[in-house]
Amino acid sequence: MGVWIDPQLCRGCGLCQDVCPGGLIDRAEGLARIKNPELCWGCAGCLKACPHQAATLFLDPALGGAGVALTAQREGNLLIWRARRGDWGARLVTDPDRVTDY
Amino acid sequence: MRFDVETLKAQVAIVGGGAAGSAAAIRLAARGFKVILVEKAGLERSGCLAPGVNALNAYVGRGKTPQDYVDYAMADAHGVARPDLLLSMAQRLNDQAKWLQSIGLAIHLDAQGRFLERSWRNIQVNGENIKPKIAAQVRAQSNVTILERTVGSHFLVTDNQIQGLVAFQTRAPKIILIRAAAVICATGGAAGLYRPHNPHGCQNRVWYPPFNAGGGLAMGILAGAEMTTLEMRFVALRVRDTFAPTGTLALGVGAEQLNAQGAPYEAPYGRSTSQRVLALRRQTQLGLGPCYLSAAANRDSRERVYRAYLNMCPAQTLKFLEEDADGLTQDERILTVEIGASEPYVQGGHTAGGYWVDTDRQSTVNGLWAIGDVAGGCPQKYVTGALAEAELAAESVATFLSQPTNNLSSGHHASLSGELNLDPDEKRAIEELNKHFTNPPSPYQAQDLLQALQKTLDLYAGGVSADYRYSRAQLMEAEKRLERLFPLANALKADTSADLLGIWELKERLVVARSLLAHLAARKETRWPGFGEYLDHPEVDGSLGFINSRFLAGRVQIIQRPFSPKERYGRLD
Repeated sequence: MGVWIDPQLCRGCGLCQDVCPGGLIDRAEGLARIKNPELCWGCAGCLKACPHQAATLFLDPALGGAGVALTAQREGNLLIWRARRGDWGARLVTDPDRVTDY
Repeated sequence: MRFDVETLKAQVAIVGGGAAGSAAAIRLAARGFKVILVEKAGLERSGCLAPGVNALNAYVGRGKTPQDYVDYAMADAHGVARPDLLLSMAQRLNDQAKWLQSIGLAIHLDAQGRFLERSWRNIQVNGENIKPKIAAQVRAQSNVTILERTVGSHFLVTDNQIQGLVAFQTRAPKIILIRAAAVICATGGAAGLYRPHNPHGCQNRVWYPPFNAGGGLAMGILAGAEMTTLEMRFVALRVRDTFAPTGTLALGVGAEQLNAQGAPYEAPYGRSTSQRVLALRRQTQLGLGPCYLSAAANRDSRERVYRAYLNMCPAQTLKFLEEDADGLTQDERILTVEIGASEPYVQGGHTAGGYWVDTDRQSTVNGLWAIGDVAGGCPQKYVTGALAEAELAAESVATFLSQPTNNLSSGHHASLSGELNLDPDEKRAIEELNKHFTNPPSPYQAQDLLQALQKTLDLYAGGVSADYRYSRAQLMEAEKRLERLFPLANALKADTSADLLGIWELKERLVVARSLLAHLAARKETRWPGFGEYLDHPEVDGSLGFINSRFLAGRVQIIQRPFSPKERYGRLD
């Protein structure tokens, strides 16, 4: 399971470090880093906190993962979720302040 | 490295800033009390609500009464629960839903503007931000001092009277000694006792928060508090692999549970939570697995389900998207997930394991309350039940503190004090923490010993590998293996505060596991066959009541208490 923090996109703001319920994120050379990705619960708190979409959620192959990367971006009240793998992509929008009708 | 020690004083100290602890802080601050709230992580995303929720599962629907909820929960627990606790909780459930709405939680409404009921016990919400919203309410209270990244380690108890607690910080080398007239334990249940279903690399993709190590249970056990029903382990029936909730599909889009031959199979086994786990296990044993949840869908309803899971379990949406990316979703008209059973947990939110409390949620230690998943005897409480218990405890604490003999003589404000006059218990607690920094190097890491614990419970105490079955001889073997881990854990070496956290959580799990084994051995029956089967005692024994325990003189001592429904339980009942 895991969250991977893209060092190319991370600006070292530390917001992900503050929300991780497992305290799994520290900083190395000014950038956020996950010390023990295998201990990640997958709550995605860091994805939603990261202003630069550097925090990325992956599924382990044992859970059915095959390389799709999920990020979240806040736009006003909305969360824009993007999933990507090579040429394939998907986009979903959620509004945390409104009920989801399903 | 050694820790610096600071002391703080408060009228009330609360350990654990999840739903229950946060709500207790808000209620007590509103009554004018000075509160210190100790939270291991950050308040915005901690506890069970970190990823979000999409339903409030404890609610009394239209046409139903709190007593109906009690009857349902008693039946679901196969009789092992406390009607007094359930009723006092059920009477307040709907008020908690209204409170959550008042702080901005998005709750689905029907055409008349009433809460939309998904079933008579369950309303649909978008709880992606439920925890940040509760946290904002805590932060707005000037009477609450919030200590984040601070881990409760010891309760200080003299002559069965709480004196306060010891905690350590994970980002600074600091021990905090909190002296308080009243303490509320709200640390949640215990995950990570059993070998997880998922393998290394994703071992923490579990149903319950893996960071809930059972700390408050361990602190209470070691302080001599009575525990109840730890043997009623919760096994979650969820989406295989991700452990995402199934209610979204079952109640939300009317998905049916089908075995590998496409046949519905649940009915003959019964409808209790335990029986539904049993149904899946029996079908698998008969060669009729895997089992699935399957619903008619279209492109639009698929996307709505994907969005719903993003609000509470993003890993499940990611799993759907992986299948889409691989072109495995050939028929958009059917939405199917495999269901699976989780590793067992000890907790009091779904099942009934935890502190034995009186009707007002005070434990058997004077001045120590227990609420939320750490409190036993009151299953099916979920979020709203945890909030209701916070309110009940806050009222009880207020009454307790209104008696002059129970309040601290001075220092009603949370304040730093430089001078340290430590009593022997306080010194011992501090030394136990510091010792890990001065221990000589150990050949082992906390993770190695954790795996030894998890393997032991998995194989010998009814884990996934043992198909949730155990025998008397196996429990004795587990006990033998477990006892050897305590000295190894005490000898572990920490270089940083983060190392100490790993060691400490291991030690907490060992303490909880030792009590769990004694409880499993003492309930000489098979009460909840889905959650566990005692092979020496495969039937229900109607003469058994509650299995309780106290840790005295280095041993777990079992106390059997009859089921004798009382309207109110006092502290000595």
